[in-house]
Amino acid sequence: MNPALGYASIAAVTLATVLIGFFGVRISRTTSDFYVASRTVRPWWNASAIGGEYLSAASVLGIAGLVLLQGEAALWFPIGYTAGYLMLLLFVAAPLRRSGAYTVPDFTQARLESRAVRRVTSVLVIVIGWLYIVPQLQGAALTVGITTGLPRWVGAVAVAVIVGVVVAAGGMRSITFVQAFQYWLKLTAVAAPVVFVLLLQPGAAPTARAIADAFPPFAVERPEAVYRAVSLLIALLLGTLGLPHVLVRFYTNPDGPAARRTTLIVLCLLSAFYLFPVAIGMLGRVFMPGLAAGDPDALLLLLPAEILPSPYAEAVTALVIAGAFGAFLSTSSGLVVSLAGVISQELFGGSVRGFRIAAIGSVTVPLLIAAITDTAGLAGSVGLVFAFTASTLCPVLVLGIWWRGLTARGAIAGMTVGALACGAAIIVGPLLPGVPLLEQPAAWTVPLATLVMVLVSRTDRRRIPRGVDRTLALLHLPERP
Amino acid sequence: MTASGPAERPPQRVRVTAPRHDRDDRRPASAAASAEADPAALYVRTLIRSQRRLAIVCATAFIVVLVAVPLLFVLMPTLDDATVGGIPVSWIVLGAGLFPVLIAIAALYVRTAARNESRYRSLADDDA
Repeated sequence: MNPALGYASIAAVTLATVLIGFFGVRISRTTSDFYVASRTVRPWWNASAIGGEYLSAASVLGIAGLVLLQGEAALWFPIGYTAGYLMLLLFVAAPLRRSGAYTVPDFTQARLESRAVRRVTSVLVIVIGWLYIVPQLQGAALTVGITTGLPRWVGAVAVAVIVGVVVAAGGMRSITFVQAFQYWLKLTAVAAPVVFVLLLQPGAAPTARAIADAFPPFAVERPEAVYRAVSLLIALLLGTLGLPHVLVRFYTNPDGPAARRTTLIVLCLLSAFYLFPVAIGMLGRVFMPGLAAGDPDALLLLLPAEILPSPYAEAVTALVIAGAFGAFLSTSSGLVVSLAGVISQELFGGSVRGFRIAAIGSVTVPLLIAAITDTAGLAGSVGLVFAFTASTLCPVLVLGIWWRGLTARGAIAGMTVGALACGAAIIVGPLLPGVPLLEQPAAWTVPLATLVMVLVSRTDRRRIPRGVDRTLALLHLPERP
Repeated sequence: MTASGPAERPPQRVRVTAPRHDRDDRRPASAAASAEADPAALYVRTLIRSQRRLAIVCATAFIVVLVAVPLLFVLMPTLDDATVGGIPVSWIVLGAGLFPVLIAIAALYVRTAARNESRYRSLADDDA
């Protein structure tokens, strides 16, 4: 691949990100601008920003790679990633917005009236954020390595530095614009190869035989494979609803109904987006089946040059590199914003200076983790982060919003058990390959955490928060028109 | 209010942590005790219950579709003999066909949830 193309695209998308970031800085003045963009963001902007933030390396590169590698079984990933927003809409969106809290720890503290719950939630949010930034940096390393020929660590360091600087300088206001821009950039990047292939119909048409080989009919799976698919879907459906960088966006809606409208638009935007990585994976199965043995995550980056004729190939490749790099920038910066919000409130009393220090800290740790761990499949490692979120923050949010009987002790016990069980599975899983219960733990860790939460709360009925009826009314009553 | 660290900017503090109300929580205790007698509290509980039921029904509907689709292809493998441009239908359905279902359920939910809220509002306003 021509390195100049790689350098140019990466420089262009970085410049655009920084420019939009600084354009936003001029408007962001107060502390609440830094945290939640003053709550004046319109649903379309907000939905685009959520889409931009959510569509990470796993979605942009990982899904096409997974379809190439696994075939039909991989199609559950985009369904799960999108349907997570349905669950978020049904169980969390409007009440969470009405709670009026900035972060997940704020919410749990307000609902359960306990500082201890707040601390446990904060630790979990920080761990989840770090775990989720790691695959973004690894994706950046892969992209920079393939497109420019530089050593892979350069990509990870570049993303970490850009994100740290932009977030520390601009806060969330500018991030909202950056994120909204990133969604449309990513959509263009994944759509372009598909559109150009359809328009130009390049090369020799594949034989019917090649197509039949690429797309085997629906296979009846063995029980382990079914378990893996179900467990993965549970993780994706429920994990979304605890992702800190997604939840923090809901506070920027003006009211509950706007939060619902935003989520509905997000569902449409994600549905449109995911058609393309799937289509690229399918094109890859026909035109580049050999790549499955190498770097399947690089399919999107390599496909245009493989099948498009000359001027188009370079143009589309440049766009694709920009979109992929944009994905690492946007997801990481969203995560860093929410992490920095939590860390600065815990340690620095929520000041703007504290937010800046925390933002730098939030990119440094994942960079170190990325440096010492190996790139597993991008979609797979992000799937494990979803399992962890689903086993910890999801039950406390859903029970907190819908069940009067949740107590602080129950919440802490459930989150701790969920974190330990799922964390152990994530750490032990790679050491004992071939054990489905460890590879995809969500199917048992989520019910376990929820059960512990309910049972401990039941034994603790006297400690139901005294303000519970008021808090629940605050969460569920419609705003005054 | 449970102060989290030294509050250096009071107005921002108030907006950061929601529970402004847990300072004077003698009142909610009595409100809870009279929940059955007080029609306002009853309306709130009814609203929460109907929203919860709606959310569960919508989630169940989606999960039923999610389980039914693969089951259909397992039970009737001949369905996949049909192809679009050489691609079996199951690929099309899983790759694109479930998204409209998702959006439809979500749109239905948004409408019904808003209707539950306006019903609550008219009950509460009648009462006041």
